[in-house]
Amino acid sequence: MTPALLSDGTVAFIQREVAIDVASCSSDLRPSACRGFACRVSPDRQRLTIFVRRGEASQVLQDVLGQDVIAVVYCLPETETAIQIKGRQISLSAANADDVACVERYRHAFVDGIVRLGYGREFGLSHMAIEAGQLVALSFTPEQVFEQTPGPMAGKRMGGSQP
Amino acid sequence: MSAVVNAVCIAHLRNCFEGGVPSALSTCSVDGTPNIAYLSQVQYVDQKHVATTFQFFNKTRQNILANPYALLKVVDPLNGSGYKLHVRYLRTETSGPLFESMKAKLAGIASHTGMTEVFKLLGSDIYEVERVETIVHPMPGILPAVQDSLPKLRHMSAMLNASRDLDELLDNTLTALQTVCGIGHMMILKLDECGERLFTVATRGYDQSGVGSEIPMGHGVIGVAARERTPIRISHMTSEYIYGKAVRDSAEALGLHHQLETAIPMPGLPECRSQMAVPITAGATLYGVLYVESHEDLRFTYDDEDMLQIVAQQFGWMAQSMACADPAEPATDTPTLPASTASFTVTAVSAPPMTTITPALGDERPVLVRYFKADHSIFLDEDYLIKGVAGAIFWKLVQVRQHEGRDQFTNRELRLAPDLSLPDIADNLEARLVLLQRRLAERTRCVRMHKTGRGRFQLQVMQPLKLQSAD
Repeated sequence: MTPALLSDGTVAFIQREVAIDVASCSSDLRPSACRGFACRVSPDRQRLTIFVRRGEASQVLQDVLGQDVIAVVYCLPETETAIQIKGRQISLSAANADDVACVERYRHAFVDGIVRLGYGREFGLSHMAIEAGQLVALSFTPEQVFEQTPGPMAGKRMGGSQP
Repeated sequence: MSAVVNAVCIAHLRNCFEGGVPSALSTCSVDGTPNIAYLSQVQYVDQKHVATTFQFFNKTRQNILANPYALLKVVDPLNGSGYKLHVRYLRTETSGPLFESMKAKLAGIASHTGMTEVFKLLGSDIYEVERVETIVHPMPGILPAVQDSLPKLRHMSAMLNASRDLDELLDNTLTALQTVCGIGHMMILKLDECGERLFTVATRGYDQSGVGSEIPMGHGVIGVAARERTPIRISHMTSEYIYGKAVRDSAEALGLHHQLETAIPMPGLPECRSQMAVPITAGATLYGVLYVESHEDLRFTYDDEDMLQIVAQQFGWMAQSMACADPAEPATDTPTLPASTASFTVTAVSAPPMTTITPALGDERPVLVRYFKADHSIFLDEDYLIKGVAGAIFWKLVQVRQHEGRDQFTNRELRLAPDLSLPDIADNLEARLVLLQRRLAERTRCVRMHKTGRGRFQLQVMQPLKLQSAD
């Protein structure tokens, strides 16, 4: 990884009220996926941490442990601007109290965002419901960043450019 | 939280494919690298199949061609439930009804956002659903929708069936949709003689009726529904619009400005958030389009689409049947009643009036009827009335009124009139007469058309007319 992989713009973007979806795959090449909740970037930008719901993520958790590979897509509903980050060196841990607070802040910011777009708050809160004891922190080292905003540039590699 | 549903049937998940909440598709390359992307459109195909749009040769496409197994996450925007669909890529279709339907929907979205040259559907990727997993259960307190489509359809069908002519059929259809389906804003458009434009013959729920307005074939959701002969339903206008705008910004950044056309103004509601255009057909014949819209998101469901498509087909067959049943009255049957039954004076710039009758009631001030040959447009004093075939018909009527002194007419004489050169399509004449009748009722108080029997009508003129023709 180059130090410029995650630009200031990218770091700010992925920590906003973005939709997050996580994917991995099994040894027999079957993809697995789950919703992500909040993204934290380490001060040196070498590690990203995403939170997932254990029940929904059971296959993803098995696959990241077995295959050590992950893809995460981030999308701001307001603009549909999106990027995808792929990484390895994955580690798992239970979410602590600070993590849960971080996820709660993210969850409310995300729901506020989609309510502004016309979605119902009840819908948003229900769809983004979490149980604190079920949250798992999934950390990885980012290796590649891709432009994912729909259109002709989707899929292009990004260096230090802003999303 | 996770529950596996054994029997594969996704019919009850149709709301998930409304575009209200983006779906996410996960794939995996042969070297074991996952990829995940949000999708603009997932199409419900049948109980076991879905389709996605192939627009760009991206990583998702490379992956499914090499490894067909994928995972599709979908969300029901009404009750918040979420599902994982374990799917297997089967094939890509580049023609046929499904492709045309998806292409039309994509083209409709693109047209409204000026993205016609950027959003191009290259194919419909068909996937078989192998397994469905529930990841988020429906919100508590949300009751499943009542399945009442069949009683509603039966009710509406009876309302249409009671129509005796096209005028009634148009009104009854709009009333049925309004009262039975609770739809507030709608219009019926007829395909013109050349198959190039659709003109509005009846509307409901707008400040201005807009009758007589035209939309080119292939333009916007209405024009594309007509061209492709497939329903187009856009359920979450904001979301779809933003999707288009995001691509537009991206294309502009690449310098593709020249491919971005001017956005076409939405017909009807300026802030429309749900819209559906359904082709009106009778067998292989395209009659026109039934269009409905709403200020609400997700106003029209798959069930509504099913219902409107069936209503539109009944409308199409009835309109065709009415036009064919129109009696071909012999020329000798043409009434030649003198104008004495009417209460007006006809004067002309070029010729003296045949009869001069003092109006019993109303204004004696002559109304100037101006006719422009170039586009057959008609102006009453300074007010535009109509153009095209309906304008030519009106000019014919007022001229006959002046020269022959009669105000009773038959559809047949218009169809056979050499100077009108009407194509031999009966339902077009019917629709033009309804259009003319409605425009007169809306735009002026000096002339009215009244149906007096099957294939017959009267032109009632309440004020003197002064005719003037120009190139």
